[in-house]
Amino acid sequence: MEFKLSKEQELIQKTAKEYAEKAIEPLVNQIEDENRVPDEVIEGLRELGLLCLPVEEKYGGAGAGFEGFVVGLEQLARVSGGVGIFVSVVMLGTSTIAVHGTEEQKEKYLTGTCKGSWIPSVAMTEPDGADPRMLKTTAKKDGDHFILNGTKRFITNTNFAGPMVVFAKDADTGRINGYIVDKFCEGYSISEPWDKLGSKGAFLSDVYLKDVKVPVSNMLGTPDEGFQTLKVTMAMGKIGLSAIYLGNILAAYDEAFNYSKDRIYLGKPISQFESVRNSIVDIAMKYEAAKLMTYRIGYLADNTANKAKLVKDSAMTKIFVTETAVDVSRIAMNVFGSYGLMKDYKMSRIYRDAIVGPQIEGTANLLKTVVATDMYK
Amino acid sequence: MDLRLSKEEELIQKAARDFADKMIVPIAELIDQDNHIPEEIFEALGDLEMFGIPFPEAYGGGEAGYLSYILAIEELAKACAGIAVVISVNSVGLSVINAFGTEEQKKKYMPECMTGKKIFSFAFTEPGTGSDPKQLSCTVTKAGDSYILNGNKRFITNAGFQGPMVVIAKDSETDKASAFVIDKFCEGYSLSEQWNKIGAHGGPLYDVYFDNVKIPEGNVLGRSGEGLWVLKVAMIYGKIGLSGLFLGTAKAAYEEALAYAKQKTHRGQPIGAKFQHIQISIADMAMKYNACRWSAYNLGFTADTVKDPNQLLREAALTKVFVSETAVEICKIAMGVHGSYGLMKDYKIARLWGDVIIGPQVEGTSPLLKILAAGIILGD
Ligand SMILES: Cc1cc2nc3c(=O)[nH]c(=O)nc-3n(C[C@H](O)[C@H](O)[C@H](O)COP(=O)(O)OP(=O)(O)OC[C@H]3O[C@@H](n4cnc5c(N)ncnc54)[C@H](O)[C@@H]3O)c2cc1C
Ligand SMILES: Cc1cc2nc3c(=O)[nH]c(=O)nc-3n(C[C@H](O)[C@H](O)[C@H](O)COP(=O)(O)OP(=O)(O)OC[C@H]3O[C@@H](n4cnc5c(N)ncnc54)[C@H](O)[C@@H]3O)c2cc1C
Repeated sequence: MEFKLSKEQELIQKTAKEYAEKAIEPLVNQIEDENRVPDEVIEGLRELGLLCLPVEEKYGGAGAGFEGFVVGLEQLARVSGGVGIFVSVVMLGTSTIAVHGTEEQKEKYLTGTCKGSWIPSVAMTEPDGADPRMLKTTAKKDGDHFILNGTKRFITNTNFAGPMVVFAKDADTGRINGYIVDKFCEGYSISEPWDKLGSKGAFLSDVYLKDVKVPVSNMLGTPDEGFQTLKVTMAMGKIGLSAIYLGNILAAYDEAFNYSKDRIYLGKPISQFESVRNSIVDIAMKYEAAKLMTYRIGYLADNTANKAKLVKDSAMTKIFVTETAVDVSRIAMNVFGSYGLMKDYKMSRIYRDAIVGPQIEGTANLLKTVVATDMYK
Repeated sequence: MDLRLSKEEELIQKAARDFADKMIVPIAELIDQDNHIPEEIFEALGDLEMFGIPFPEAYGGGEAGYLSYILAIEELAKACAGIAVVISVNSVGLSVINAFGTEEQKKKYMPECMTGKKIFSFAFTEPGTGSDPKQLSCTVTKAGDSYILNGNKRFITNAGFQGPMVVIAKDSETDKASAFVIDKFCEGYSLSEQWNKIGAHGGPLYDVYFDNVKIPEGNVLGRSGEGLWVLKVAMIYGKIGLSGLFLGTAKAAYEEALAYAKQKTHRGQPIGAKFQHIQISIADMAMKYNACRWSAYNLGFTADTVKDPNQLLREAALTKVFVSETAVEICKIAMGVHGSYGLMKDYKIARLWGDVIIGPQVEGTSPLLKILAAGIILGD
């Protein structure tokens, strides 16, 4: 066992950290207020290879694997939770296509994302819920096309051009499959963005698909592979979320640690109080545990041929890291006293961001039922 | 032991609840967005005698005790934390005038602050200190039969409303702290921009600047040099209000989650009926709310019956820590029941998430209050 980052991973970590501090940090308030990742940040991420870390080099990606991906995303999300979600969903789209796509699909959509100007989305959730058995969106075969109809809820990155992997039910067979839709094609429209509590910046809206025509060649995998595609997407999403909220924990840790040294009380920094030191150590311990779990799931993803097998481990990691992020936020908030409540302090944003993790990509309780099913099967 | 509410307590609770449902709930979202409470609300609350519940009838109060006060704050806070913050801090001012004021001061300040037209502030916190009176940097200097006040106060609630303000400041000669009553917006009084805080919107928060504010000698509150006693009593009554307030937030989160669990369906069945983990969440919230409720009500009862300030401070500190920390836990569970919808501004639980974290951070952080209470317990 070796608990060391490779030279390449260290470089990714350093590049992501420096870029986030230099180019994203100054724009964080703008990202929050406009609820949009600025074009120059997207271009910057693309140029440095941070937008497409796990995508193979032959499609223009960094070929850094998932371990490289989580290490990089942690540093980006440490500065902006919104940018974290944005990049994570790009990974989700590209990975789903990378695992199940044909060579032609990969060539077109992966390269278009890594080298071109596209930003992918993945659309699973619907107004009835995120449970695949409840899908109402339908795909109806019509000659060499499918006709898609339905409404998708809470979908990220819908405002950018690029591929959207839409999960829908075959109107004839009832089977679920993924279909690659080009956003803004005829019949594609989106709602106003949702106004969410935290992790702002990643654009979130509902999507309306009205008689959207998709060539048969844009179906992902074979018709009976749909459920496997879905499992891969679910696992990948959780790997992304683990890295984002690991970054959130690190941000809370930085903030609380620095504040405890800067805030002077009775002529000495509050870090001299035992109660404050206890809090800082609690945060540090929780960060280490969350980091080990997150880096491990990256390692597992790189060393598991059948990615659908990652569902259980990725769910456990996601539950642990996102719940820990909420705990850490609370402890860090306490170090700040009342100042942490004010918008002027980063801490208030970190707290609002933290609660997003447990609520998306399956709530903790729901995911525990998934894990239990796997354990008892 | 009789754990039933008296007729009077039930009446006050019902009056507050009805008012909240009818008048506050419909505009609570707007208050949150605009960070502003319409003046009519305060006047209506004044007419309903919500500002003076525990104070003597002789000065316009209801003389109904602190348990009744907590019951009312709970109901109002359930609808809107900002409104409850305003009333709670107003009551801190009234409590210290009631405890330390001369007959003249009581007559002057108490009745007007029970109408909703004038609203009290209490100014202790400064940029350099939130918890430690020894660090005070606001000073008064004696000049003839007046004092001249200079310095800055931080995070002061209600500072933008007309009415009196109790200020804790140090005498530049004796170095001892005293309490003074001033009229807000007198000469030399000015305000910062409003702080943009994470929750309890509508409850306005400012820094206050005193530039040679002239205070007549008759406006010293309590004995000169004994400002820390005034502060101690303010800390007690502040925590009573906050216990009621975050009890209300906890109740609101619980009720939101309960309603959501009944209404949201999964393949035709309400999630509350279908999933055991939702049922367990509901039970956890109900248990925790009950524990908070009895803890807060007991504090009200204690405030009405116990005279020893150290005992009362200990109870108030521990109750505030317990209720405010548990309220955060309840909100977290309620969030879980809501899935992603809970994150959207369209749902009340998103607002409550910003409100609830204020509890453990104000009037002393939880670790600090535990240390304080432990000191009293170990010293017993
Ligand atoms: C910022 C953000 C970004 C998002 N991005 C995307 C995206 O890009 N693509 C996408 O498809 N979705 C996305 N989502 C949607 C998100 O993944 C889902 O909303 C989430 O998985 C929860 O679904 P829900 O809100 O419908 O909750 P529900 O599924 O309605 O859950 C409500 C409650 O019921 C329980 N429950 C539900 N089903 C079960 C079950 N089968 N067993 C036991 N308990 C159950 C849950 O635990 C929860 O307590 C995003 C959401 C947000 C907020
Ligand atoms: C909504 C709101 C309304 C408010 N209203 C008012 C008001 O009307 N009037 C008013 O005067 N104030 C008011 N305040 C201020 C508030 O009461 C103080 O800010 C609060 O008590 C905490 O002080 P602080 O932020 O300076 O934290 P600090 O006291 O600086 O605490 C920072 C950290 O240091 C720790 N710490 C500090 N001292 C010690 C110690 N001795 N031992 C161990 N640990 C220690 C704390 O636990 C905490 O972790 C309000 C604040 C808010 C947010």
